[in-house]
Order: sequence, then structure tokens, then C-alpha cells
Amino acid sequence: MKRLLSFAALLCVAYLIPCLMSLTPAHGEQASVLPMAQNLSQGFILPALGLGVMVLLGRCGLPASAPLLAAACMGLLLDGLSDSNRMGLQTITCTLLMAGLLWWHSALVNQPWQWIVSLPFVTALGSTTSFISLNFPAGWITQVVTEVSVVTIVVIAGTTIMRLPQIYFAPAPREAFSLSNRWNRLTPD
Amino acid sequence: MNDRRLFNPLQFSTAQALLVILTLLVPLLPAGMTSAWKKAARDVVAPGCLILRKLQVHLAAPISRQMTGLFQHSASNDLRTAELSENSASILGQKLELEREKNHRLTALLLTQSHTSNSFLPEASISPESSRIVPVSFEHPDFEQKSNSSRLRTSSKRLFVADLIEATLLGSELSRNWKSGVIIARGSRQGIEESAWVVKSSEPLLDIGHDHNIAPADLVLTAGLVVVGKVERVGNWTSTFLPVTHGRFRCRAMVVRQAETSTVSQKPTILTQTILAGDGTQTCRLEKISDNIGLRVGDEVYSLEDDGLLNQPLFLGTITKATLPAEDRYWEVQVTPEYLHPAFTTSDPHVTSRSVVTTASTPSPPFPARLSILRLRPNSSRFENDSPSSQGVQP
Repeated sequence: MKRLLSFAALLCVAYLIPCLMSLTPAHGEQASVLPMAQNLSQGFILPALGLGVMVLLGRCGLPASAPLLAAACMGLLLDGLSDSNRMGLQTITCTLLMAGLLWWHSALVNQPWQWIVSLPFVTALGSTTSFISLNFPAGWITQVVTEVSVVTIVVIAGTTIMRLPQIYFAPAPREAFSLSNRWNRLTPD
Repeated sequence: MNDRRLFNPLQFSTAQALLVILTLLVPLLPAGMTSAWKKAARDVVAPGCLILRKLQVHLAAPISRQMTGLFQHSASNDLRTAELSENSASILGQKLELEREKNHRLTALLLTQSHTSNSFLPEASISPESSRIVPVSFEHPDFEQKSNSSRLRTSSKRLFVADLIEATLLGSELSRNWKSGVIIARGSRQGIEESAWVVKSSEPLLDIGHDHNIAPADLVLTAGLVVVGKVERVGNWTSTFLPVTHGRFRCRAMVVRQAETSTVSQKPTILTQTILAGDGTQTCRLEKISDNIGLRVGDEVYSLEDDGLLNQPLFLGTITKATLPAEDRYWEVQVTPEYLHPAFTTSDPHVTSRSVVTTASTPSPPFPARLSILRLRPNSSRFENDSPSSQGVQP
């Protein structure tokens, strides 16, 4: 049941990320609080964060094929929604980046720094790939740097929030390593 | 440890290897399948977008209620004690309906006046040969045309006012050079760079951006308050816009029938309110119009404004095809945008509408060379007036 729910959640994420990216503001409504946010939402920030969430969900007992499949589906949808005539760029990028993320986060326990390194790196790679196909248009470096910065901040905030319960509800530290304890250990009965 | 790992690229399972290989084969798909998928993808995503939009509205409503509550709390103690019972809410609802009805009637009346009035003509420099009568033109007394920022003059007491900012379409050569970075390459070392997402876009380019406080979703208009599209991406100095016919364009609209000479009322009728969406060709479609509404070719489509900031509705286009399939209860309606009417083709020999070439997959329709961007802003005079009065209240 848990696996089934995880798989459903995976597919939901793969479906909702392209939906979020294709949400165009209706006339009469302000696009967003920040004027730059609309441009940022068209970049690789949302797919990168989506891939991160998929890896998290994939770790709930699912085989590696499940997040790979979800990433490929997300890439296909992104390709379908893009204005470019080329097909397959987003699909390949998302699938390969997901494979990389799964390999990087394959250990049973992940440290926060691993997430803080991996997701911005994935954003930089994904964003740069789309700019390669356009022969590096003017201003691409600024865009990549902005996207990487945004993802880094989001990941740091996310990992901090996720760790808060562990910090506040962690069991009390063990009794201090006193001399008597040490003596007892050195001289077992 | 290694055997417990989720995924190891050196030890591919058959399914994983097959998946990656299939992914790599996607670019080799034939063009027909690619274009079919591009059309299907929008339909696939549409329900999700709808859900997200509704979610957005539901999430925004409590926040705005809280904000209103806070405002009322600080503004007046009388309002804080006032609580709406169910009874009073229903009375207010009825009043609101009455006001809406009144608003519809006024709009219809306005349309009649603007269509029959001889006091204004379409702007000569934009469409000299235009015999097309549009509701309002730039020569209308309600417009205060300035060098760079004309203002749609509304009552000075309103909290928000509408501005019309002149913009020019960049032609094919200029667009290409701008997007390739040839023009601003020298300035890139000094940090002068255009936003990459504007440069990347294949949509038509306007010559104003953040420097004129343009925001995404601002409407792009041409002479006679005819809607051409809406701003999509805003760069530092340029911005792109989605034409009305683009597959991603959507806006609220109302269908209006002009009065026939034989009828007694002589007033146009608002038939229904709906959504106008671009269909990716040179036309648009109206969505979900029920079969109990009598549509016909020639009915006009206007934008639907419910915030009352504009004095006139904006003209979108005319219905050119309306069919009711036997097995369906909704109309299939095709709307031809007004800006594609021959009267709107430009007379400027230097910037021709056909010179605007985009690299989009669908051929782009010709655009009028001179455009304006409609944006709403807070009425600064209100804030100036408010501050001394509030100071005067203090003992």
C-alpha cells in the first residue's frame, strides 16, 4: 500500500510540475509578487525541485525504475509544452539527471550537504542544456546563476525545516563518560 | 553496502536500461508524431492547470479575507463589531446581482453609443483607410496621449487607474540581432544583458520591458482598444507577448450582439460570458457555450472586465464560424481576432507588419506595428491627498 501511494505521488509530481510551468497568468491578475518570478518559473528550477521530491518519494521502497519512469514522463510533458520544434531534449535531460540523482542519493542515509550540493548542480546542468541548444543567448549566465541561487536557498530552507523535528525531539544525550564508567569498562566483571 | 543501494549505473537492470535507451530515441521520432504529441500535451496538462488555478483561488481567498479583516480592524471600530448573518449575506448577494445586471446594461448602452457616435474616428496614422468602426479610438477624448506614456483617463478619485504605454514591434532583423546578442555584446562586460528567457522566446518582441514597469499579463492593444495579446516574458528593455491566437492565450470574454434595425430596443445584447482561447492558428475559439444560447456568425466578442476600472470593454474579435455538433451540447465557435482585419495593417513603410518574423512552429499572423500596453497602477493622487488629511485628523 505504501509503495502504491508513493508511486501515485511520484506520478502526481511528474504531472503537476509541467502544469505549474504552463500556468499563464490570466488577464487582469498580477502574475506574481516579484516581476522576475515569471521568468524564473520558465527555467529549470521547478523541474529540479521536482526531481528532488521524486528521489525522496522513490526512497520509500520503490525500485529505481519508478522515479526514472516518472522523470521521463515529466520530460515528455515538458517537451510537449515547449515552444521549441526539437523533441526529446527535456526527456533525455530529466531522465539522465534523475539517474545521476538516484546514484548520488543511493546510500541509506543522506546528509543535508548532499542535497545542498546535488539539486543546485542538477539545476545548473538542466538550465545549461537548454541554453546549449540555443547557442548560449545573451544573459544566459545571469539566468543560470539566478536559478542555482534560488534552488540553493530553497534546498537549504527545506533541509532545515525537515531537520527541525529531529533537533527538537531528539532523545536526551547519554550520561557523560565519567571516570567510573570508564573504570567499569576497563575492568569487566 | 553496495547491494543495498537504490540505483547503480554500473549494474543496470533490464527495465532501467530499456527506459534510458527509449529516452535517447525520443529525438528520432518522426515530425508527425512530435507535432501530434505537442498538441496532445496541452490537452493532457489542461485539467491539472484547472485544478491548480482553483487551488490558487481557494488559498488566496482566506488570505485576502484576513487582510481585509486586519484593514477593517485598524480602520474602524464600528466595522469590527459588524457581523454578517446569513440573512444579510443573501440580501447583499441579491444587491450584487442587481448591480451586475445594471453594469451589463450600462456596458451595452456604452457599446451602442460608441458604435453610433460620429464624434471620433480611428487614428489616421495607424489605419488611414480604415472603414472599420471600433468601439473607441486613440482620438477619443478619454485618452490623454503623451509622448511615451498615454493615460486612459478615469475618475481622479479611483484608487487604481489604467495607463496606455506606447510600444513598437521589433522587426525581424532587429529581433534576430537582439536575441543573438550582437547589439548588446559590447555592453555585456559592464553587466548590460537582456534576460535570457526573453532572448530564448520565439514569440514577437516589443521594445519596452522592466524599464517601463511592464509586467507579465499586461494586455497588448492596438488602435481602437483592440486586444492583440498579452505580455508573456519581460526583460530589461524588451518583452515578448502571446498573441490572441496563440495556443496558450486565454482570457475572459463576453459575446455581444449588435442591435438589429428591426428590433425595438436598438441596444446590443450581451449573450453570454465565456473564455476565449487561442487555437494556435490565425483564429481563436470560445469555450463551453451551452446549446441553449443562440449564437450566430457576426456576433462580437469583447473582454470581460469585472473590476470596473476600464470605461470601455476591449474588442477581441468577431465570430466567423459557429456550429452545434449533433452529439454535443456545447457550441464550437471560431473567432477571428479584430487586429487581423485588413483595416489594421500598417501603413508605415519602414516597419511593416509582415516584417515581424518569429521562429515559432506555427506561422505567426501579421501584427500592427504600433501597439500599446495597458497596465493598471495605484492612483498616486489619492495617496498624496490622503496623507495631509490623515495628519489633520490628529489632535
